Amino acid sequence: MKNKSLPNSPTYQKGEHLKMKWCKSIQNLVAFFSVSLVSALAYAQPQPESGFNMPRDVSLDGYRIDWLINITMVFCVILFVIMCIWMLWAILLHGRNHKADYDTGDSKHHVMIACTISALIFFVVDGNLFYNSVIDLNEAFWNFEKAEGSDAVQIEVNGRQWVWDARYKGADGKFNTPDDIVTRNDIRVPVNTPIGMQLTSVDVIHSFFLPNLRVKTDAVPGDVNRIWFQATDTGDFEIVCVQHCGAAHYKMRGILTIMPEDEYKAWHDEASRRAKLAFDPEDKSAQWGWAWEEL
Amino acid sequence: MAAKIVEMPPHVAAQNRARREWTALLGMIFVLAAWAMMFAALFFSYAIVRVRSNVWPPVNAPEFSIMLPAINSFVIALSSLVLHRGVSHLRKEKFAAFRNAFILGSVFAALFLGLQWHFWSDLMATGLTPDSGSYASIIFGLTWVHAAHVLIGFFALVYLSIQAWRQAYRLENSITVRLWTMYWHFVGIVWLLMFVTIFIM
Amino acid sequence: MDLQPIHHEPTSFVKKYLFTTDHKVIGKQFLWAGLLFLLWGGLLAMMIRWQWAYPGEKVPVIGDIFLRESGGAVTPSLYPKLFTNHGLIMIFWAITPMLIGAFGNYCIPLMIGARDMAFPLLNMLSFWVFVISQIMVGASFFFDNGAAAAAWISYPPMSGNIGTPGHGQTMMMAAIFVTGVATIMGGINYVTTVIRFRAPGMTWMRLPLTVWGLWLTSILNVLFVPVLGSAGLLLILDRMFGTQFFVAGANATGTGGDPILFQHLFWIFGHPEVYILILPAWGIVGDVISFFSRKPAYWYKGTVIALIAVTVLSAVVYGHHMFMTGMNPLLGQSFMILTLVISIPAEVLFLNWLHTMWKGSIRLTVPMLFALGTVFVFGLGGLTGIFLGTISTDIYLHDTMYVVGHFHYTMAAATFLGTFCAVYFWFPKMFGRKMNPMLGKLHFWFSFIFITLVFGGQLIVGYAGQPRWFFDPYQYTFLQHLHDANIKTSWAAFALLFGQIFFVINFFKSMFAGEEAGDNPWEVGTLEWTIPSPPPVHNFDPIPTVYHGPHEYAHPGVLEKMGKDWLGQDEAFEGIELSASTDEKVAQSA
Repeated sequence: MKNKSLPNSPTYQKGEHLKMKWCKSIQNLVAFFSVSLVSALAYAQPQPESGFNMPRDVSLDGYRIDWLINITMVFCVILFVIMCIWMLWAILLHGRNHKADYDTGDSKHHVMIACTISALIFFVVDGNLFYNSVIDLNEAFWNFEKAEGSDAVQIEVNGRQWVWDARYKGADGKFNTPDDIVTRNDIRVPVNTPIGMQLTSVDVIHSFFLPNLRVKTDAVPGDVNRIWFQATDTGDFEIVCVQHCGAAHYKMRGILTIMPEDEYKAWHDEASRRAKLAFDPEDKSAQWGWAWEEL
Repeated sequence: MAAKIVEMPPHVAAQNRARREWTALLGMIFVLAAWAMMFAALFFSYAIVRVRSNVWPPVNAPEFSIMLPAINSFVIALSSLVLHRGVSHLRKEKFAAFRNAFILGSVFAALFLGLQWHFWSDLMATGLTPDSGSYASIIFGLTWVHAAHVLIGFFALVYLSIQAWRQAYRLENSITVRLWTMYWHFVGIVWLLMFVTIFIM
Repeated sequence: MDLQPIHHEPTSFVKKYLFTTDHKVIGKQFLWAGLLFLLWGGLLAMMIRWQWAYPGEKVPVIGDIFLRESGGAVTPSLYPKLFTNHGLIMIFWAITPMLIGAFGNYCIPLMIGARDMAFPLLNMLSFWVFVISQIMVGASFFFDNGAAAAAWISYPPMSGNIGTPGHGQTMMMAAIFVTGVATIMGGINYVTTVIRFRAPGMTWMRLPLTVWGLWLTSILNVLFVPVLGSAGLLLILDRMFGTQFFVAGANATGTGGDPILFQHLFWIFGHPEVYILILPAWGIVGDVISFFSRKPAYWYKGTVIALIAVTVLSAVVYGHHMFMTGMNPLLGQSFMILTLVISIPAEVLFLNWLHTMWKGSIRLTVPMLFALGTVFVFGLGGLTGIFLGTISTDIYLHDTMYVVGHFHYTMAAATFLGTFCAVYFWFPKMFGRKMNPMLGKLHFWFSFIFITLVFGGQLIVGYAGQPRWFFDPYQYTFLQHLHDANIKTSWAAFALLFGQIFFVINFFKSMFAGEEAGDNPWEVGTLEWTIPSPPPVHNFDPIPTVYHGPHEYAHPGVLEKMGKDWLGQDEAFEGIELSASTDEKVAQSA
């Protein structure tokens, strides 16, 4: 079992040793145990998958992607099978012993047929793909307003070799203040709540991928990119970096913990309180946040 | 097979020469198209970098005089004009004038490179070194790449001048001269574009 | 004729085989250079596959020789070097020289009825500049910090000094620049040659499809390789002189460059590059299918229009590689629709190929098998590509092994089989001897089955979520169940490598001891088969006059009067578009 017992108060570099001091306070110990106990019971490791399907979908809008991929896959399989049968049939029927037709295919009739078939395939397969993709983007994936409200949770994510740092607003509701919660390769979000994320990177380009939530975008130095999603089930899932970012790229693995809303709130309040206590104004490297960029 | 080369009627020879020149010209057009794409990519880079910056030139960028680039624009325009005259002299078979024009053109090319060198050192003296940000990157990077092409043109012009001195060019083989002149015009146009977009705008 | 003078055969070895201006010898030089690097790139791929099947275990044979320091295993720091160099070597130093360098050089003048390229000296230079770039690639492995390791896309800052310090990466970027110069030189030559040196009567609509493919490829090369050159140059400046084109800085003070800028430049080149690699293969396949179906190419004009349409479209769709970089939504949608439009000409091409076969008299010779294999794998590659052309599906599939499987089907499998189709088809002309069909068929079935399986395996694990560029995917819980599939795929890859032994045996054995081929062993009508095999230095004497297109098969009149089912392009036959314009004939006789 992965050790998840420490509720993540500021774990960013220098914050580490300070945290230990406050753990001595009894009040903190109580909170510490209550949170860790719940965590240990409720969350296990990410579950292994099986079969060759896409990983289990726990997002509100992921079904759109899955449906579109699968329906297009059906079209493609049909087209490919037709092509193979056509080729095979031609080889079997019209082999060496068959007398070839002198047919240059230039007649208007033939040209019409070829164009019609091409256009038909285009409008059905590609048209469906395009139409649904645009709808999906406007309604879901690029509809970032859904994650802007006060009922949503906003998180800033900073990629660096080879860690995902996440930053939450503290109790003051603002980013880049002393009570920000900063975690490392460990992002916690409430279930059934829109989650907005803004991503950047400090060194090379990374790409933030949540396979189970069907979201992905690049974390680019000097740029802020955004994504949003809403989880429909609790549990532990993996965060993947999918842009080659160095020798240990394959180890840039984080855990996304989706918690029930009340648990998330308890964790958040506690962690924010401790973050404020642990804040070290001297530690500039931990102050990488930015004011949330409005739409 | 050598026996095949029988004497050709002059009009056929002229026709064939015209065809060969056309082929060479076409090749040069594609060369310049390729190089135009390369410079277009550089200008595209400049545009992107500039669009992304809120302030241009950057607030802390040192001031520098654009006197030298302005003079250089004049120099390269003049050299193009001189070479153009040189080619028309060659067409009219005025070989001495042609030779002089190309020697003058080479001198202008050298002058351009010298002034560029001077300009770069002046820039560095004001504190605008190549590693001091995107502004310097654009100025140095683009002019370096351009100067490299001028350098190639300069070597070509020197070679052509030497050959002209040895009276190697006649109307029949003037295509070499004409193609290098085209190249030189191209490099000149690129410089004028650079001057306008980087130093004036 | 003075326009295309007849050269004497050079007598010295150096002039005949090394610094030659003969396009046929230069073509063979490119073939050798490409085959060598194909082997190198292939071995790198095998090491990658071994790592995915048995992570951290000793690589057999190769490990003993090259990886002694790590006890024979691939290490995390070596692994990026493997996939980086595999990608770059295969694209720039294996496929490009073989398909475009070798067959472009060999076929274009022969097929259009010319005595040599328009600029033979430039042609020679192109090859030797290419050799310099190959030496630079070899050298890049011996610098501090080793070879390039920023993936073939070389995105900064990963390819900058932050991500990959050391001179290996710089050397690789310089090598790409140099090979780009060689490619442009070749491209200028091909474009001009086809425009200017077509034999009398060889109108645009009578060109073999191979020439069309190569010509369009060359146009893309001339126009878009320079953009890569610019990107590489700026990257080298960033690495060596501290400029900041691709280094993100504080935008408020205007001191920063833009890492995304490189991606724009790279893909403005990179997407046409995909078509640069596949267009010659399409052309060759289009011809070969018609030749061995013994039937005219179906709707030749449509095929040509489709090829041109793909060429034009390829220049304006590059944005779909950058959907995940935070692209402006409006821009994203335009790139989406443009990308999908490419499927229309592609469908026309496929329909024409299938129609050509239909009601033909199909001969399953080795080149024909390879051509059909190309159609098959390109079908797979093309169909799996449309998922990546729209953003919502790309969100999930981007940067997974699915992408890798898709572009390997199109750029690797299709060009691999297409190249071997060309090798088997033109080998008799190149060396005057036939290749052994039995070994050829063995080679085909090994290559075809296993190349399909290898990249199919990649598609499957990619669909299940496995990202690309992973040293050890099984660090992730959700990928652990894919280990078995990866092992099987790896074994398919090893079998693919094994199958190439048949080719090597066949190639060398046939070169020296194959059956004499004669002028026209395949009984096809394009101009290169009207002259002896191998052709003399000056190819044609006299230059032929062309009377009709390249695909005149099964014409009932020809069958009746001449007793054969094909007609050479230089054979006049009453009733088949006898329209070589008279003034061209006059020019010819003059």
